[in-house]
Amino acid sequence: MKNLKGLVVIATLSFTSLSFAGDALNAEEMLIDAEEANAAAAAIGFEWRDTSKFISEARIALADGKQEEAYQLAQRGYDQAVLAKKQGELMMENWEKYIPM
Amino acid sequence: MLTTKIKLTLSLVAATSLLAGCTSSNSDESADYQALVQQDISTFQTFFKNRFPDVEIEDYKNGVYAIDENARLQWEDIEEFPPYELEVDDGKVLYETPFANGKSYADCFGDGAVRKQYPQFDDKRGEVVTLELAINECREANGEKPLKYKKGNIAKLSAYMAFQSRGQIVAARVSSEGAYNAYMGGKEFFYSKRGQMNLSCADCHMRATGYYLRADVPSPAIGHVTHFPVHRSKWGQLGTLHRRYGGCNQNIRAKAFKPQSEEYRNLEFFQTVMSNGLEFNGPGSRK
Amino acid sequence: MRVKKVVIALLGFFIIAPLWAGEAEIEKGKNLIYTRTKGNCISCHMIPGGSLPGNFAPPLVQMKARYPDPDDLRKQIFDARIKNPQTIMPPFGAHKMLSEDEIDWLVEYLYTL
Ligand code: HEC
Ligand code: HEC
Repeated sequence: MKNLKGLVVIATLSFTSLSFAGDALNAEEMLIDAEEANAAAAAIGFEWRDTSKFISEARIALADGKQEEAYQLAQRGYDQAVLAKKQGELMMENWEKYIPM
Repeated sequence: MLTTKIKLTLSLVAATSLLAGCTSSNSDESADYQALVQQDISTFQTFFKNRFPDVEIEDYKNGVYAIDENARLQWEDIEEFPPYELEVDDGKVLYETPFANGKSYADCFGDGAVRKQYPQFDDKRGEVVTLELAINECREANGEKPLKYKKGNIAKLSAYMAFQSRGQIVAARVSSEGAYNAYMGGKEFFYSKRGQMNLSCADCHMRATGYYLRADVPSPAIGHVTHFPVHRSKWGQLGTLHRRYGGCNQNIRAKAFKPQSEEYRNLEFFQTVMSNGLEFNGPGSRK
Repeated sequence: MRVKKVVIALLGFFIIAPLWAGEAEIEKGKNLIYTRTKGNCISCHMIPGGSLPGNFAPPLVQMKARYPDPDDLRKQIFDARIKNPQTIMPPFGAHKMLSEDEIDWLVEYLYTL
C-alpha cells in the first residue's frame, strides 16, 4: 500500500515536471517562454509580485554562462506567470461569485 | 469584457426602469446609473451593519478604530498631538507659495476645501480624476513639474486640502455610462482574488475584518477613503491612498500598479462611492 | 543476482523514504508554520505553542482525530479551493508557495498536534 502510494507520488512528480518544462530545450528558450507568459499575465492585470524578479535573475545567470541556474529561475518565472494568467481568466469570468454576502 | 459589462449594464438598466413602473424615460439616463449604484451601496453598508451591529455608520470614517476598542483608546491619545500636524503646516506653505508664473494652487482650487469634489468621473476625458491627479495637473498647467504620487509634497498638499475640507460629506456620483464602467472596473478589482496568495481586497476588508491576522486587524472597507492621506508610524510620514493600495497588493504577492494608474483610480472611485454619506476627516494617523 | 537485490533494496528505500517521517521532518514542518515567507499558517490559525496567532480560521488542533486520512489533510494544504472556492486560505501547493516535500513535512507536524 505504502509502496504503491510512493510510486504514485513519484509518477505524478515526474509527470508534472515534464509537463511544466513545456517545449523549451535550453535556458534561452525557457527565458523567452517566461517573458511571454508574464507579459500575458500582466496584460490582463494579474502579474504576480516576484515573477519579473525571477526572470531578471535568470537573465543575469544566463549572461554569466550559468545555464542550469538560468533554466531553473526562468522555469519558476514561467510557472508563476502561467498560474497568474489562469487566475486572472478565472476572476474575469467569475468575480461576481466572490462577493461576500 | 467590456461588451459583457455593457450588456450587463443595459439589462440592469432595463430591469430597474421596469421596476420603476416604466415611468422613467430613456432620456434620464443618469438617474438610472445612480439607482444601480445606490443598490450596491445599500447592500455594501448592510453587510457591515450585520457584521458590527453596534457600530454607527458615521463611525466608519475612523477605519479600524471604529471596531477595535483597545486600539481606539491608544489612537485617541495620539490624535491629541496629531503626528501629521507639521506636515499639514508644510502643506499650507506649499499651497500658498506662488509658482514661477506668479499663480498658485489657489487659482485652481480656491481655499483648498475641495475634497468632496474628488474623485470624480470627467465625461469629456472619459476617466476618473482624483485629487492628487488634479494637483499635478494644476502644476503642469502652470509650467511646473509634476510631483511623485506616493509621499512627500503631494501628500502634504493633499493633507492640507483634506484638513481644509474636514466635515464635507462623501458624495461621489455615477451619472453616465462612462462613469458606470469606471465604477464597475473598480468594483471588479475590489472583489477579484489576485497575487500568489489568491486574496481579494474583500477577503481581508470584508470577510476577515475585525479578526486578527497575526497581529493586524483589517479595517472595514467602508470608510477607507475618508481620512487620506494618512500619517503611518510605520512610514514615519504621510502617504497617499494609492501608496497604501500598492502595499496591500504587494503583501498578497501581486505586482502593485502604479499610483494613479487607471486601475487604482477606478478602485478609489468605487471605494469612494461605497463610502457615500460618511464625513471626510483627513488627514489621519495610523499604525 | 546480488546487483539485482541491491537495486531492489535501493529502489524500495527511495520509494518509502519520503513517506517515512522522522524528527527532522517534523521539525522542518514546524518551522514552515511560523515562517512568514513560507506557510505562515499562524497568521490565520491558532496553533498550540504559537504566539500572536490569527483567529479567522479554525484552530489547528487534534488533527489526527479530525483528519484520519493524510491525503485529506494534504489536499487541504495543497489547494483549499477544492473544498471551498471562496476560501481565504492560500492554495499553497497549487500556487507553488510550498513544495511537495514541504507540504509532506507540514502534514507530519500537524499530526503531532
Ligand atoms: C491580507 C489581507 C489584506 C488584503 C488582501 C488587503 N488588505 Fe488592505 N489592509 C490590511 C491590513 C491588515 C491593513 C492595516 C489595518 C487597517 O486596515 O487599518 C490594511 C490597510 C488598508 C488601508 C488603510 C486603512 C486606513 O484606515 O488607513 C486601505 C485603504 C486598504 N488596506 C485597502 C485595501 C485594498 C483596496 C485592497 C485590495 C487591493 C486591500 N487593502 C487588500 C490587510 C489587507
Ligand atoms: C489567510 C488565512 C490562512 C492561512 C495563511 C492559512 N489558512 Fe488554513 N484555513 C483558513 C480558513 C479560513 C480555513 C477554514 C476553511 C475555509 O474557509 O476554507 C482554513 C482551514 C484549514 C484547515 C482545515 C481545518 C479544519 O478544522 O478542518 C487546515 C488543516 C488548514 N487550514 C491548514 C493550514 C496550514 C497548514 C496553513 C499554513 C501552511 C494554513 N492553513 C494557512 C485560512 C488560512
